[in-house]
Amino acid sequence: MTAKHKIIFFLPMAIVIGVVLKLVFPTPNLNDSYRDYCWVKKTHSTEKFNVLAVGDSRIYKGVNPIYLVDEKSEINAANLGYSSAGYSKEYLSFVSRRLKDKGSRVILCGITPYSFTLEALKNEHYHSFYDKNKKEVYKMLYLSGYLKTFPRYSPGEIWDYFSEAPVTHLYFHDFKENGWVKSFKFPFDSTAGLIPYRKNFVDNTSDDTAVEEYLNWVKKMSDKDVEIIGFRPPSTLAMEQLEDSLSGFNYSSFISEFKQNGGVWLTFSLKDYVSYDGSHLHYESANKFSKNLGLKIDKYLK
Amino acid sequence: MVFNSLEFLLFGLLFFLLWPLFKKKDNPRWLYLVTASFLFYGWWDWRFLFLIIGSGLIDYFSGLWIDKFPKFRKQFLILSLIGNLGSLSIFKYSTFFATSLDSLFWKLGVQTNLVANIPEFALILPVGISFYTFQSLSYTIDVYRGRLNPTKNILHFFSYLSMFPQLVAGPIVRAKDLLKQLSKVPTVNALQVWHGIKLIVFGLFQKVVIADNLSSFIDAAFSGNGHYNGTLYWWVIMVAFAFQIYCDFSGYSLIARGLAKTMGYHFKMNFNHPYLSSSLKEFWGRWHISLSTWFRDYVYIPLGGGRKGLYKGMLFLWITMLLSGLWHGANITFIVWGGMHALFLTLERFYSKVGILRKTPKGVWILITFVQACVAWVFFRAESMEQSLTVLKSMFTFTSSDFQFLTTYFDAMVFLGIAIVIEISVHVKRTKINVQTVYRKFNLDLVFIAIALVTIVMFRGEGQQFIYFQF
Repeated sequence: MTAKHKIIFFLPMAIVIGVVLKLVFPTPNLNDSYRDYCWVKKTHSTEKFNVLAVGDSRIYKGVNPIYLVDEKSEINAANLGYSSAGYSKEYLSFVSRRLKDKGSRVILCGITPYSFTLEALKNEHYHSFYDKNKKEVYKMLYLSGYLKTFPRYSPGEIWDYFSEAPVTHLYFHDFKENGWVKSFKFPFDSTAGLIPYRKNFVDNTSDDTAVEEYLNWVKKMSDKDVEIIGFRPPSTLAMEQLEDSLSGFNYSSFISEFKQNGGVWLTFSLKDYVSYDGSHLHYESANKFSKNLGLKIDKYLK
Repeated sequence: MVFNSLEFLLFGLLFFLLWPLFKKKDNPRWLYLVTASFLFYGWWDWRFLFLIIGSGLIDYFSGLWIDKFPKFRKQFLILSLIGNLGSLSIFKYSTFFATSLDSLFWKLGVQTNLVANIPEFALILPVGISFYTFQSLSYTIDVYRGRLNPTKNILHFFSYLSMFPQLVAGPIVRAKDLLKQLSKVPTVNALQVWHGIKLIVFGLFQKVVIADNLSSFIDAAFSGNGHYNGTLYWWVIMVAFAFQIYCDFSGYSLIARGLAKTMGYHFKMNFNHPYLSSSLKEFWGRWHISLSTWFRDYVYIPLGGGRKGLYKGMLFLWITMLLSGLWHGANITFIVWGGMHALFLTLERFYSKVGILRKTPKGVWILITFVQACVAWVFFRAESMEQSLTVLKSMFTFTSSDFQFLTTYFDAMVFLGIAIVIEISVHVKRTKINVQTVYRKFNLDLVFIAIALVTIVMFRGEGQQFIYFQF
């Protein structure tokens, strides 16, 4: 075979091998090109919404926007949650920009004791996408999207699949364009989150100035006829007790001031929902919680 | 832009589409190469272009004037040295030098804050500055030594200096090799194109499949998020790092050579399976060959090389290795890395003469050399001296290991295994003639390249910058 033949044949040969392997291999659990696309779209899209769910990972995993509003209505909703998000000025300004200028406007704020800590206020996850330059954003929005056809495969997953070994562990994430991340973990371990969360509050307690600035923002938005609805995202009792004991965050005084500034506070029963790691809701519970949230905010959506 | 990116794929396709239109005449060819290379480099940050143009102009005119005004040739060489090493010092070493001086003065009881006074622009490290300054320097030094006639055409010069395949991470191409090639109309036949494709695909495989898939395993360990410890764990980490850095850098060099070959140019081999070396001397003849030979020709030999006796030769070796360490990074750890190699090379000079040791099988020496390289890599990878010593302590105190990491990082172990198997296969292919015959007879290169291409798409690691860009 001459070099010329090899030049002609190597690409078709690769395509054939690739197609066969794609048919044989199991679909990967995580499509990271699509994941990055979803995050960049969440951060850099200019689309505005009537309803926004904001906060940390308990929000982006726990609130599915499709259950917040009636899909037949013109009212739209999105989830703008980020990992370890804190209510900093930049984040609140970002949220405000993504809200429609008129009509029904509701912002659902997941308030966790971590939301006002100095570490959370850095908003590193949000900034990792917000600070990307235009070239990268363009590439991720318009080019990387095509890469979702070519997900990355993991030898471990392939090995498990062909060895037909029972699944002993799995951490599943399915990223949605509306900002929600459908997730679960197998096996369930409702205590898994306790150790990292305990570390989260070492030398990192709630910052009073950040709370005050947030409450001023609530007042400002309420004055503009925006419904600010706050709630503690459901996790587990053990997690709530741990956060309350370590964070230095006083919910009762916060809720009282939140209401004084025009906010509406909602409470949810923990026993209605299941968390797979002690912090985040299993996707079925997330859907249930979102439906309940949708019912409670319905009266604000004219 | 990096080779393993979508924008480079588009850039490369466009470049090769238009290349036949420009390559036949000198000035259009050089102008096309320079424009494409500046676009490639400016894609990171267009302001970096001022630096490469500035240092390039200094060397272009220094070369011309050295030739034209022989009386002042030394002065023009000094001008070039100041221009190149000056910009390297400002952009790469100012923080390191300022921190070191601050620390020294503090120990002497004087409080200074030189770091705070470094201008903001000097804190930015332009991509590949060490590579193109060394390439540019070799031009003026060769002109000064009378080994090269300076080019009078500025486009010709800049097409040599900025040629995009090797601009940011080498190989460091010598002017006397490339200027001559650039002055001719490049011709390419099917065999060269096929060799070019093979180099590009295998280079991408090394980078995207091996190096990128090993990075999270190694980064977790060095950032303290690995949750594991023990002797076995750290040895596996260091073996993985040895292959990560090798595949990362060798991958880049292969892609650069492949691109050049497809254009009709030839770059010398930069990596020749260094972990198959049976001595550290041999290792340095196979690892980053273009830099090793640069230091040999422009530092070690001018100092006196091995001509001035054993002890002076060793002193020059130490100077060269320490400078090589400093070239890699502005941190004490890189200098110690160079020092470790100098130490091992010094010891090697002595024990290689011991009769009994000479009879030791080659395989054992390959293993010993690899272990030495891994130990030295600890300093190269660690964030600080303190961390280096902690890692070395873990490697040599034989503490128990939690084997759980082998399953947690199962994927990384698979890719490490593949990297090792490839190196062993290369060794077998080189030494067994019947394997070579089978390889040719069944056109296994075609099969392997097709498989490598599929693997790049399906098993690519998370996109990482090339490690050597920081140098």
